[in-house]
Amino acid sequence: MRIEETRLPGIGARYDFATEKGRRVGVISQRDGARHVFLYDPRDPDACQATIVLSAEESQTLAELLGAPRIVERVVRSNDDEDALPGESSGAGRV
Amino acid sequence: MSHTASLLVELGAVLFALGVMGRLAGRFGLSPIPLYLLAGLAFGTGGLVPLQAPEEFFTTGSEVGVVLLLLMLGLEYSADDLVANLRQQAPVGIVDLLLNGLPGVAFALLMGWGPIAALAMFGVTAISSSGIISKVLTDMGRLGNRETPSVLSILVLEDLSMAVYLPVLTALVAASSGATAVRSVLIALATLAVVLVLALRHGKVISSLVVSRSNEVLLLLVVGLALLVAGGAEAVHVSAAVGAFLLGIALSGEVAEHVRGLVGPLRDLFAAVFFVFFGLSTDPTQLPSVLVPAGILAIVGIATKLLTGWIAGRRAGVGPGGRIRAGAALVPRGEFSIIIAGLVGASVEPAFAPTVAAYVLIMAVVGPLVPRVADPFARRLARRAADRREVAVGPENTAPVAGT
Repeated sequence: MRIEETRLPGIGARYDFATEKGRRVGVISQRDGARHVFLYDPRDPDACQATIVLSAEESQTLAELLGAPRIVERVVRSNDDEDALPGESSGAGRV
Repeated sequence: MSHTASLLVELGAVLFALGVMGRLAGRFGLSPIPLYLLAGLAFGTGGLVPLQAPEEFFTTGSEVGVVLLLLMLGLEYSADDLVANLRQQAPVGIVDLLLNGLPGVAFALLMGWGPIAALAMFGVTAISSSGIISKVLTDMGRLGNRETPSVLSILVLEDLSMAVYLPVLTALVAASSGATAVRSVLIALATLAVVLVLALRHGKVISSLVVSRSNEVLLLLVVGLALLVAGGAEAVHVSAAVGAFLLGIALSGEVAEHVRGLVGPLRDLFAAVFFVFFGLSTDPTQLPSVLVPAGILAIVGIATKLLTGWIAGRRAGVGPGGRIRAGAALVPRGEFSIIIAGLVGASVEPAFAPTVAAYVLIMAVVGPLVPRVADPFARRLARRAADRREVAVGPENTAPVAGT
């Protein structure tokens, strides 16, 4: 995957790449730790269709969610197991 | 009332009024700069409520305001940013300055003003307001757009060119004859070169001078150093503003980040004082008579910035929609135009300051609205370009439009 890096003087740096399905996604990292996540407009490749601004903590959380999907899945499944009573729905569909 | 009492009451009333106006401006998405100017015009001589006591505070405060404005601007940029931009984007920067500055010169000559006023008008019309523009780009969620790097590098180059322009202008204003003018310009430029090299090469040493764990100590060291450098620069006619700007560039890394947070609020206070002071020292009764010429200059100023954005965007390989957006973003003029006008003052032409005040009032109000007005137009152009592409490559090769 090719990530393009562009410097934004006075602000920070922009990184963007194209997904397999053809959408362009980008992140601006500001020097103060804030991050802008944005999606380019497929009808106007120079403009953003949507932008969200995340604080340093929020972007950390998002990165963890994106970077560790398996761990999250496992946590969710084990929570489900604990919630369910033995012999009830959680085990019903299993072999 | 005693002097102290009236000083505090008047000063407090002005600052409080500025705060209320800033809140109003924020609600309508406007820049507070034109409101600060209007406040100054209202409180000044010939205005609605002339102030008596705090004049001295405003005189000194506005000088401090310029120093802090430029210090913060310098802190935004690292030396690497400046050098990289100068290398890659210099042609665009020159196009921008000529295209937008020359109408100012022509205007001054048509009005029958002298050469110094013409040179000052070059800067007034050429330099966009980086403060207003970066706020508009952020508010409109455009930082990620592909035309934005072009816009930002034009702003960097304008700010950098001010580092050469302001010393020349300061030296010319101070000089009494042709020979002394040449000499003081040369001295100013030589000093500038030395300071610039020091700032670029030895930024770390300068940063280590002010490093401190205590916020209080850091604030005092940095503001003290900024005033020292600015004063020294002013003494050799390099202009206090440029001295502070170069110090800001020299400070780098973590110190710069920390100082930005500390000096920011102080800058906001004194910058407001600076804008009010310019309004105070401008005669509001002169405004109506210069409104029409300033309006015409503003229309030309919008057109030339749109053209600049188009050229810069095309050079960066941005589509037609982005080129329109780049030009529209560049329209606002603000703090630099006022700094230049304050530097030249009434020394050139009585109509000069009111004209610049009217020009900035128009540009700082209309400027942030231009990107919003131009947006549907830019979108239509971009769509049309996209349709053309689709016809050219066939629909199966274009990106699928996903729902959002």
